[in-house]
Amino acid sequence: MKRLIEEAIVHDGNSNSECGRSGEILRDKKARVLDSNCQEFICLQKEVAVGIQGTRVLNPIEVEESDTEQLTSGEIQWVENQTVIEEDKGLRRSEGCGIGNGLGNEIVQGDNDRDLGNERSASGNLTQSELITAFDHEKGKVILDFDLNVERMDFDLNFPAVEETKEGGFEGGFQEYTPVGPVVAERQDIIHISSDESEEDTGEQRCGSVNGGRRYTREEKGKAKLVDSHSWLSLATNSMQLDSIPERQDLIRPADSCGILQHIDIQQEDPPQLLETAILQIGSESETRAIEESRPRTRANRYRDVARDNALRFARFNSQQNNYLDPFSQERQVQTVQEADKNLENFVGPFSTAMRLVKERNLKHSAEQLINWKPLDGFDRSVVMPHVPSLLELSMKVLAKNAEAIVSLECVPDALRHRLADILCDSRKMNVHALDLLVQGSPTEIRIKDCSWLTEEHFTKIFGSSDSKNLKVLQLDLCGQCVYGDSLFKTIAQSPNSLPDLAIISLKGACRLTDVALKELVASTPALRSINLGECSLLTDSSIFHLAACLGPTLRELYIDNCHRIDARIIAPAIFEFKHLEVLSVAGIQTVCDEFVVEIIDKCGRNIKDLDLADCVKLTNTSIEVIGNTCSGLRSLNISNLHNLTDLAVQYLANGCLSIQTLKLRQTSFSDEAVAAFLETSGKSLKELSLNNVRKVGPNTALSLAKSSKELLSLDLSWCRKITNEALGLIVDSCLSLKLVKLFGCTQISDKFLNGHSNSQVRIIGLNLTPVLEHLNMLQTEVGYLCYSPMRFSCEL
Amino acid sequence: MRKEETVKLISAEGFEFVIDKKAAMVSQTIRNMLTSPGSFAETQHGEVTFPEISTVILEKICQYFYWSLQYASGKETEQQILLSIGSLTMILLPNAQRCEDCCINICDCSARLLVQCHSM
Repeated sequence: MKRLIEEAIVHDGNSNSECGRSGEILRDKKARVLDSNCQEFICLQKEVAVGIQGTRVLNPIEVEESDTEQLTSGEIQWVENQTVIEEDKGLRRSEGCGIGNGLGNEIVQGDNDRDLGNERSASGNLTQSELITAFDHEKGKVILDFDLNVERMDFDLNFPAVEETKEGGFEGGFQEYTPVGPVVAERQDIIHISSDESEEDTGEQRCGSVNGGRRYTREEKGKAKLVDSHSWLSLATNSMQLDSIPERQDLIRPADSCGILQHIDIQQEDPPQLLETAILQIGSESETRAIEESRPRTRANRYRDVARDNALRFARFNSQQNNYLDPFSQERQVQTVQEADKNLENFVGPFSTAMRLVKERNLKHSAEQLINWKPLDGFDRSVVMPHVPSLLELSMKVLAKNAEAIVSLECVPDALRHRLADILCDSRKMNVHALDLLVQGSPTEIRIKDCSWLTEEHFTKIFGSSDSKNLKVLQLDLCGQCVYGDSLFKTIAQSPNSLPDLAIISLKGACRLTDVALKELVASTPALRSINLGECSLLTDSSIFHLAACLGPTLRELYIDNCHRIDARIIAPAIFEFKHLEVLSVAGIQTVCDEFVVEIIDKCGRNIKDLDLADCVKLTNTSIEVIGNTCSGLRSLNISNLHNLTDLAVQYLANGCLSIQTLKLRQTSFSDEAVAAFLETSGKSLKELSLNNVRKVGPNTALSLAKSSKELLSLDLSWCRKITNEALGLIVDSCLSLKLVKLFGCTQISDKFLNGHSNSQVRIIGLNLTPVLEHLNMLQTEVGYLCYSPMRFSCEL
Repeated sequence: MRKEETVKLISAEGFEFVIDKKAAMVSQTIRNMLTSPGSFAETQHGEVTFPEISTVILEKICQYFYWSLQYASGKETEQQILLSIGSLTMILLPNAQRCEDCCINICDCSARLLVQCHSM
């Protein structure tokens, strides 16, 4: 151990202090980790901590700095995971990162450089890792981009003693460091940590030891078996997998040292996943195979083979990868589609006429020149009358503030109860007492938009004793905690037909609701017309089939957004059964594809009024074509985040859905002219339009909005950087019914517009630190029963 | 106040509240009644009857009208009116009334809607 320290100190030019510290630490078997960065280790599982410590203590601070440059943004919470990352970097580097053809050589090259005993500078490493990144991206592989500050690893962490570190053996492993002392000095890079072969093959690859190159035999180094160690050393071998390209979907097997994973909060795509899997996989099986098979080959080939063999274990399918396109190829794709678009736009139709007009208009003058808006001078905004709260609002405030003192709400009309419940939920004052008030008596509506505070016990108590014979509407959103099979059986779904009049039920967020529970619920509610099962992640296809069987002819509204276990292709036949479906939301379900949409719309799309297809990224223009052709009564459409749509989709919508009122085009890539032409064709009845992040929107759209969208109430132009002050002023001054404009991210809008427009009703949100939550309920009209058709109750029939 | 500038609001019990016309115009209903082209009796006499609204509530409503004017010109805050409404609700009990326009919309029956505004 002493020798270890000495050599460490000698070799490490940069981090003398840390070396000293590391020496101390190594001596101390309790591994008191001294600096704050290393604190994390303590909480990690023991085996891992050993290795990490070894690498970590040397240059904690230095690594940080370079990490900031190197790490790809946001992929890894490197602040917390410095240790792991660094270790992996080192390990990966040591493995030669069998990324591809030349890269292994580059690593070797790097090693050779080091052989000269040059202390590589950070910049030297920079290029190396940049190379790695560039290489990988070209191939479309997403590989961790680490700064491999290998030169900082001053001693060989390839402690042979780890062989004796068993599953739990932190202390044991630690002790083993001692005999390894001499070995430490020999290697300056972590490459050799990997496995036994690396030490054997070292011939050309091993860098000269600082001491002058005394090579120790394997036995001396004590590296007899690495095979079944679960130490961080295994990490090294497994880190080879980092470079493997995920080939198929696989589950991550929980490994012994899951500790690292806890610290990795990886939210992005492949690279973090690879890291995750690699680190988790501190299993021994792969190790053995890897080690045995790869002996005779060159290191790079060996790594590649091992990686290939083991890729399946570690690969995690990233659903987005299929759609992953480089910006370049995506551009190219878009271009080709645009060419196709041009051909198709020659169809005769109102849209193409409008499009032609727009283009001709642009030929004469640029659209900006056409916008002829001057801000009002000397307009003092403060003089404008502020919005006076109505007496009703004030009364509601009083009631909400004193909710504890309310004894009964029995004769209060439903609309007011709803409003009161909303205010209470928003201000987090909703509690058991208030719920009791709402449930007392024999209410016809219970609407609570946030039940996350409600525990099972209270739910069972309150609803168990409630009288639900008149209940027509039940809304228990965000009820994951309290609503599930048992609690429902005890309360609402006590017996078949226990909710005879219930027409609308919303159990959004009931994440514990199972298929069986849903079946029971549906058995109790024969008159159901609208069911919202958004985010009920346990539901599967069988629920939908059951719903179709029981409620086929009567159900009007079905919301199954984000129910990821439901496979759209399988439930298509079930959806056919809903003959009168008016509202369908399948947002977020990734299996929704063109075939699904086409089938559904063909069979039962004539009556559809509201369609929510946000985030169903597989959809293309074909779906929109069918929607445009069939759903002439469509009132609300949400096609946010559908990247594959082009202007052609806008054409179909414009020609087909003439009475559309709510349109959400967030994050689509439509062009300015297309949106403008759409507005001129079908924008007459638009009430709510979201062009959030539709980046190409600009002056043409502004002109069209001003000209044709007279009924517009809410407009979202966040992140549309091409909208100028003048354009916005024109919109706001012409659309007189506009109440709400959202302008998040539009820093190009200045006071010229804010103080110069003359619309006194409109509320601008998103600029200049305006308060942002007050507008949430602004446009909410009184919620009736069904959105699009009148409801008839059994008592009236 | 001159007669032309005032409006009389009559409650269910027959109490008469004489208020400024501008204040009365805060209510859309009253405004319509007083300014519509047809000839309401109200237009001529400047009197509006509310047979469903009790005196106490009508008084509070008139207070609200005045407050609203003050608020619009920036001279009032919400505090005052909230206090005032709070005390009203205490009295509101059994005969809560329904008023159509901007006023308090509380149901019509003998509800035991008791809000103790001790915290105010």
